[in-house]
Amino acid sequence: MDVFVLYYRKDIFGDPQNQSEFKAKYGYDLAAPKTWKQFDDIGNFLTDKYKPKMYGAGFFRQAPYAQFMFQERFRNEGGKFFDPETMKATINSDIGVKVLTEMRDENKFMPPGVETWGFVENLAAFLSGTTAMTISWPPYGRWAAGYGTDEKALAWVPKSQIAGKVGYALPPGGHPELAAGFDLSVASTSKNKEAAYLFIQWLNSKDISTQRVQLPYTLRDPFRVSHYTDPVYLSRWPDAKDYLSTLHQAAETGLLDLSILQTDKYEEALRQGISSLWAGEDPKAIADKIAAQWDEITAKVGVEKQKAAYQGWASKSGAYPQL
Amino acid sequence: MTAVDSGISRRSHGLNHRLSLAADRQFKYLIIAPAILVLLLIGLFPLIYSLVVSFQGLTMTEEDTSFAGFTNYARLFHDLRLWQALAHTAIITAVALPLELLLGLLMAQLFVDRMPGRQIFVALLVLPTVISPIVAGANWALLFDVRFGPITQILSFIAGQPVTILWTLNPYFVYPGILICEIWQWTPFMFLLLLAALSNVDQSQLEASEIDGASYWRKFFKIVLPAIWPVMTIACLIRALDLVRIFDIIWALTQGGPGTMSETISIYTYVQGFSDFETSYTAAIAFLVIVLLTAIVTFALKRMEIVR
Amino acid sequence: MSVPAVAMRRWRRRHSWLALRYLAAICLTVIFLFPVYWLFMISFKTPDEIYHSPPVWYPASLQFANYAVLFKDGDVIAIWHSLVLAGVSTVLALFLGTIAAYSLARFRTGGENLAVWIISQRMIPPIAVVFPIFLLYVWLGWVDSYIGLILLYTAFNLPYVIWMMRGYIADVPMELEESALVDGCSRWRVLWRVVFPMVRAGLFATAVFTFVFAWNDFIFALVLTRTEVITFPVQVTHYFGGQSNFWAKIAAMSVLGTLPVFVAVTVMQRFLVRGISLGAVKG
Repeated sequence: MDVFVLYYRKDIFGDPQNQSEFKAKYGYDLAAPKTWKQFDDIGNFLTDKYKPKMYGAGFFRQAPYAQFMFQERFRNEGGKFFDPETMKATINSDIGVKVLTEMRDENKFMPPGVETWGFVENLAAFLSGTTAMTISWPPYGRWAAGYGTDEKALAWVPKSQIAGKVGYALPPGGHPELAAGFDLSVASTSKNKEAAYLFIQWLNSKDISTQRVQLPYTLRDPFRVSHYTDPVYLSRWPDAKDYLSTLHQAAETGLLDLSILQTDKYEEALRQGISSLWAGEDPKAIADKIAAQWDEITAKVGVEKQKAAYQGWASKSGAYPQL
Repeated sequence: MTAVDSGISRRSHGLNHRLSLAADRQFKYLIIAPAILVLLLIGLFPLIYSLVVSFQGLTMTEEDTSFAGFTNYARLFHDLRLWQALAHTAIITAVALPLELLLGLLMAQLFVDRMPGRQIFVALLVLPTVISPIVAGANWALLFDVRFGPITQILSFIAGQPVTILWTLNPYFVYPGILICEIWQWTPFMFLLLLAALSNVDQSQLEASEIDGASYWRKFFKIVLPAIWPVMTIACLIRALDLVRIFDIIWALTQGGPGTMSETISIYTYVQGFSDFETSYTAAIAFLVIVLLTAIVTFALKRMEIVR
Repeated sequence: MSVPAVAMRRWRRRHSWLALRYLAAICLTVIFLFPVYWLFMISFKTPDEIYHSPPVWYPASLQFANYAVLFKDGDVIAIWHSLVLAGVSTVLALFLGTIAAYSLARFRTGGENLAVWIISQRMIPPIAVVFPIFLLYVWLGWVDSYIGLILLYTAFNLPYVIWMMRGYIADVPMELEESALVDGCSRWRVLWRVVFPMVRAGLFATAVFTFVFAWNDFIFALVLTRTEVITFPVQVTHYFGGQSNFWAKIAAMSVLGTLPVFVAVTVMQRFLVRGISLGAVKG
């Protein structure tokens, strides 16, 4: 499941001195944050103590990635994308503005330039030990453990300096973003439809798929229930057990990406909004602008058509978290 | 030529003259025909096609080929984002072009006289233009990167303290960043063209004026400038047209962001065509651009004599 | 003042001016080439060195493996394809374009209107016409063929060549041609024997960038080629992944891609030597 996981340095978190200092300052135990408030506290604490060698956290704040994080966090805080009756965008509700503001404020305790980080910059920072927490999709976990990075095909992945020191948890809020996912399909013009279909079946069969997801260079994350308890996988690295159980949990609580008619246009508006946020514009103004753009797109698609599509998506159990 | 020769040739000149006029006419059309033919072969169909499409309601998802009249064109006038894109494009062109021209001219002047090793210098200085614009943009994005790029390192060293400039996000630095990359890549273009033009300046005239005691500036304005004027103006025209179509560098650096702050007309057209799939509207935008540019170029040409 | 003293002073002035020029030349080269140097270095770095803070100015060891992989995987064929396409279209465009430019410059064929129509071809945003051209090519059977792209690049560079050469030809004094005509040369001979040599410098400068424009084209090569004729820019963009850029390959391939033009420019520079055409008019 291509789902967000919180990766954190369990050696830093487990350090007794850090634990006592943190408890003294904030009043609760230092552990993987369950809410965004806790995340901010821990982030600030670690950055104040360790910078500039290490910072509390880092994210891929680049707009295309950050908008996924926004979608997840917004819903975890109770936000809804649209009003189901009128199809008006409700992304500029107080929750939306709050999330935008908090995201911007968090950048302050992250390494400078974090707003430009993409997938690899964030990975490089975490693997080199520059950030103590990050959120990303499953491959980070495997690469942080040093699994498979000797493969030629993965030569572009920076070498991990933190193998064995990584803990896994659900992101704050407890309902991680479940990325759109990968499909295998047969082309309608295929000359060997049946063979193609049987091949796909074979690829996803229990044994073969278990092997597949352990190939270092396929970027395939475990997706069958049996994957999470497969003894071979569990033996790959010492913490694989925690890794797999976290992924399993995440798969069960994950949130689906928004999927309605012409979703990419809505996401484009979100992307622009986030890049404006990093450029220093006011969160409320940005949220209102996104909402206005969303309403425009809905009008062009057709309110009734979009309403039906949205209700179809929203009725799925993974669309909004049961808070 | 002796007097007898010129007498004979003047008499037969009348007949020859009329014959040669006809031959001239044939010649001048003959030598331009192949080029025009190639241009028409490749260029005519797309133009007609785009024109037709711009009057329809085509998108990549809905095949509505019915005649939609001027809706697409009317939409142009209400599209604020389009006019913002045009403004952004105008700013970039208006700043980059003079700088490239000036810098290119200075560089050309520097290298026009012989010096040992000039060949290597010139070949090296042309390299920025050879690098694929996409790669150049991505390379500069890496150079500007706060953590992995040397520019921040150099600036911090000069300032004496850590400097954090987000060249691709900070509204004050987005345009300078783009302009630096663009000017870096295309000044060598002006440089080489002007070098060739300067090489052709009549040496004997220059020497004569030197003997007469003319100052450097006099020489430049009276002899050099008029000589390189045709090439210089055309180089500026070409460069200006390419600046209007700028895409790769900006896409690699900012994708038109933050927000739509650095969105030029090419990027906006791309977004409309390949992100929003508005095929017909894209065609209408293209025609608007062609009309505007043709008007500007025609106006500019009338004011500057290209061929004196 | 004595003659040796004057000569001495002039010698010193010329040489201090030369020294200054060298200094300026070196400064310029350093500034302009720094990004190229960086790209060059990336092609020799490991991923940890590419994404390293603080930045690595010189890699610990030169990773020639980055280049070896390109040869082994056969990616370099793209450079060959681009060479052929850009080279042939440049020669074609230069020839057709220069004679057309002569027509415009000396005879004012078609007046300013034709000239403006020609340059208007360069105003069209490529994105807008790539699809109709694709349709045209499918109909002609020219997709994924050498001839298709050669003609396309020729067509797209003709306006540039015509306009540039019109300017360079305008620089050439007409007396040379006129005296040749009077001497009995045909128009073709005049064009070939008198005009072409006179505009060698301009021809060279125009050739460089005609080649570069064809070389760097991305969008048409992307749409109009499949597997037979993959060009250099399209190959390079394969290394820009959705989640990460394979910088080692991008850099190595880019370095290889700059070599042909670099060699060509170095070799053909004698055309830029000052004073090549002068004196002919007066003498």
